[in-house]
Amino acid sequence: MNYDKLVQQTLQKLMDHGADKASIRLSMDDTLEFNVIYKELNLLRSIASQSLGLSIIKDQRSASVAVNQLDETAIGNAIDEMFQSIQSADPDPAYDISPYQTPAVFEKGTMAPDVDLVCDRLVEFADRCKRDFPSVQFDASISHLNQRVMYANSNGVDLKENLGHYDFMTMFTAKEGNKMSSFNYTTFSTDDLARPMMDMNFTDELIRQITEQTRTRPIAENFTGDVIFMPYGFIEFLFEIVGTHIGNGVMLKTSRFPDHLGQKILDDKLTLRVMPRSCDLCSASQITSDGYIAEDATIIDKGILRHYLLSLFAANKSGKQRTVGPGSGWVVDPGTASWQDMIASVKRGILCPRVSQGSPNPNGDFSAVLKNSYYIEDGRIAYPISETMMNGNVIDMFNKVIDLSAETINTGWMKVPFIKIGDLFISKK
Amino acid sequence: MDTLNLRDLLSGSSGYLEIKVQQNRNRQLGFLNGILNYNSNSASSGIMARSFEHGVWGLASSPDITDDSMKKTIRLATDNAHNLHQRTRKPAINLPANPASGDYLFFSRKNAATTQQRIEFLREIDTHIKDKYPDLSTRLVNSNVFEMEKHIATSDGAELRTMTPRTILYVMMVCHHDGMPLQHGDIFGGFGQWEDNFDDPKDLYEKIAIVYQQLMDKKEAIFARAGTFDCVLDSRLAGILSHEAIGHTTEADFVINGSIAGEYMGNEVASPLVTLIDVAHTWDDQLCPVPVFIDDEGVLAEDCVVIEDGMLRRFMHNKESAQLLGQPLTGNARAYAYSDEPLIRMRNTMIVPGTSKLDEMIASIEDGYYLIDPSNGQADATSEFMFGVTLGYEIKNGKLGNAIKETTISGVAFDLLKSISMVSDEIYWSCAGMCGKKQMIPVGMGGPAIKCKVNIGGKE
Repeated sequence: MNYDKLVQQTLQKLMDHGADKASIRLSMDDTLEFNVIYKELNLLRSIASQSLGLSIIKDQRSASVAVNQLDETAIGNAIDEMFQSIQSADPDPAYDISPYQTPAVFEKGTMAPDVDLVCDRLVEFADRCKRDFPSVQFDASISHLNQRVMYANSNGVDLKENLGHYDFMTMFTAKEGNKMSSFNYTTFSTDDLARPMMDMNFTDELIRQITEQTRTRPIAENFTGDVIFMPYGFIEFLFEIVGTHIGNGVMLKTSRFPDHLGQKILDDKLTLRVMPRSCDLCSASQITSDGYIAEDATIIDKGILRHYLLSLFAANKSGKQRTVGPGSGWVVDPGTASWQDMIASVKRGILCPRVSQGSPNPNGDFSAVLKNSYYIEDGRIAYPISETMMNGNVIDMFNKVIDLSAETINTGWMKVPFIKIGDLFISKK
Repeated sequence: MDTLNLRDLLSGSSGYLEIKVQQNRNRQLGFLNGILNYNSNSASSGIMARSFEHGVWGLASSPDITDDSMKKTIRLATDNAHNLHQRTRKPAINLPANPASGDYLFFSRKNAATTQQRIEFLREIDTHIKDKYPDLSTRLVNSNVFEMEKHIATSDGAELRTMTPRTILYVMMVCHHDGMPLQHGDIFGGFGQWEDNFDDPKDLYEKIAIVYQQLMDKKEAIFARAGTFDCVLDSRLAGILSHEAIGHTTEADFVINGSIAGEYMGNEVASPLVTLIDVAHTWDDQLCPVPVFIDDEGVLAEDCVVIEDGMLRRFMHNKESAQLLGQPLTGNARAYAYSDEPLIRMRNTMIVPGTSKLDEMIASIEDGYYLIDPSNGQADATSEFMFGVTLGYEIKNGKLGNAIKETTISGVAFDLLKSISMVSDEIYWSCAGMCGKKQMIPVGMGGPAIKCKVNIGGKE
């Protein structure tokens, strides 16, 4: 099938039907995935999928439809349905499409999988896990995704992207006799398989930790102290800030920073960037969901808000200017300390690889269960803990940053260090 | 949905093979502050083949729904299994079978509401909220109709056609108090298409008034105190407890991977007041939120009595886990998208109602909390759980006091179950449960209110 022709012809059909403005996003994915289940190779999947998203604006009204059957009849039916549903819609001047940009083709990563190497790396991971951590139960998978995206609209925008990367996921728990640990997991994308999965992104450390977590105990008493979040724990809270306070929450009026551009909102040790153009972030798309070429930008610069993360619609709706869009390819600037040194400087606190929490209140208040975590006393990890909760306010928390680590993890869509936060309330069962 | 003659396409297969045609459909309409800003329709369909050979699986899928494409997909799935077998060299294994056939297509018998009628329904609700509650800064009135249609055939003799619909309507309100945003919402609807769930917008006004009142209560909300308290978990919360805290630990894939429940089979794990069932399709002569008569491996779906009068009795299975543990099939294998493999998934997990009255349960607590609405939840292999709580009240001397701010509750499920001292006589099924174990999937979660001891996150 000639997909270029399909996109352009469909766009023309939308305009011929009477759309004032129209946009199209065609996505085609091919996935090859090897799975280890119950510690053994178990499943090989070959998946082909596709999706065609159509959106129209007519008389300031909007409708959209997505189908995955690309024959003329299916697309024709989808178009008819969309034009029918737009008649009942409300006009809103906030609807718009991205302006003309020079046509561009982006490519990032490894487009074709090395099938034998995918399987070898997964078997190697399973063998190492069984050899080095015999008490650990695990599932794991490595897949290769080739994703082709085409975006076009009636302002002449014509963007194409070809992404290829490997995705690793493992979920694990440990069992010794009748004692067992909580589960933990890690997942990341990489554009090559040069290194064993076990040696990337602290995977071996997380699995080593789980072997200790069959012997947890509660903390002795409630206290207020420092918490060092490993990167996956850190991002849970970071994305609360991104979504509720500088993203769509601005439009929904749940943001605590609705008119704060240029103002200090977080600790000056925090710098958050979006870097979708970086080859280092192999799964970060260079085409935004609202049809722009994604740009690298500093969102929070030493605690000062520089950009809202608003789509064109959300920006129009909020009465703000769209700048970088919803954002992708997240990077938090690292610090200089090693994470081990960060632990050494804690008088009383917690090392937290993962949290489990309900959605924070829009004002930022939260309480969370500290999962897979350790009690730290006098600069040393004392013991793994159970049934311990942490309570605070996500905005206050990011105004009490003590330190960021030099080490980072790179998941393919974000690059984030450890972070040490002071003055958090920790409670026992 | 386009479909194929699957039985013919299966002929000649050696070993276990299952093939499927599936379409997922989603219709979303939503008003943001009086304007229809969400108006989208999506459909995703395709075919899948899954082959089992010598203890390993090969799977292939394609969006192309034709006989030729299915033949190619079967060949690729079989090749994938064969290639994996070359790596593993496992001995041959026979999967257990309990094949069933039937059509379970839950299309509404009522006249279909047009898009225009649905939009007007939502607009009327939005206008009602705007007029009645002018102090709100944001109103969101969203509806989503989700339909999952499948045609599956297996080489061990099963063939099923299903269409399982769910319609929900989400109302969210935001107000500001002392300069801070406060948010609350609720979800209405459930199993069935639009027409089965919604008729007159006015039917919802009383429920919307409760949502608004609860949001106003949050203005005076206080932080819960941290620690373990006697609590009444409302029936709206008990369902998520059944699913997250207990259900997941008794899914056989979790058990094989070391879930603590594997240690407890046949033992007392809960108060004798507790019977917990993963219901296949029907409870008390009513269809459950996610009725499953035959699962995606073609297995006859049966109720799985996980805990009976406090004793752990049974785990939930797919074919592979039933073979590995040598236990009977339950019919719990389900997949979300056409390209997905069936995983062990709960269907409609519930604690069986008891005899107590909610008022008596609240009155029996001197110092504790009445916890009503959950947000998200998460389980652990240890049975340690966490749920977000978006609405709750203090209980002082048997009476409800201030609302509490959003909090998180946690505990070890099998400890909590032993602490249950009262079970109410009502049942509430959540209408919008989704479970995210590798693939998202709709689930039913139900139960009565229970009185138990719970660990609450708080500020003191």
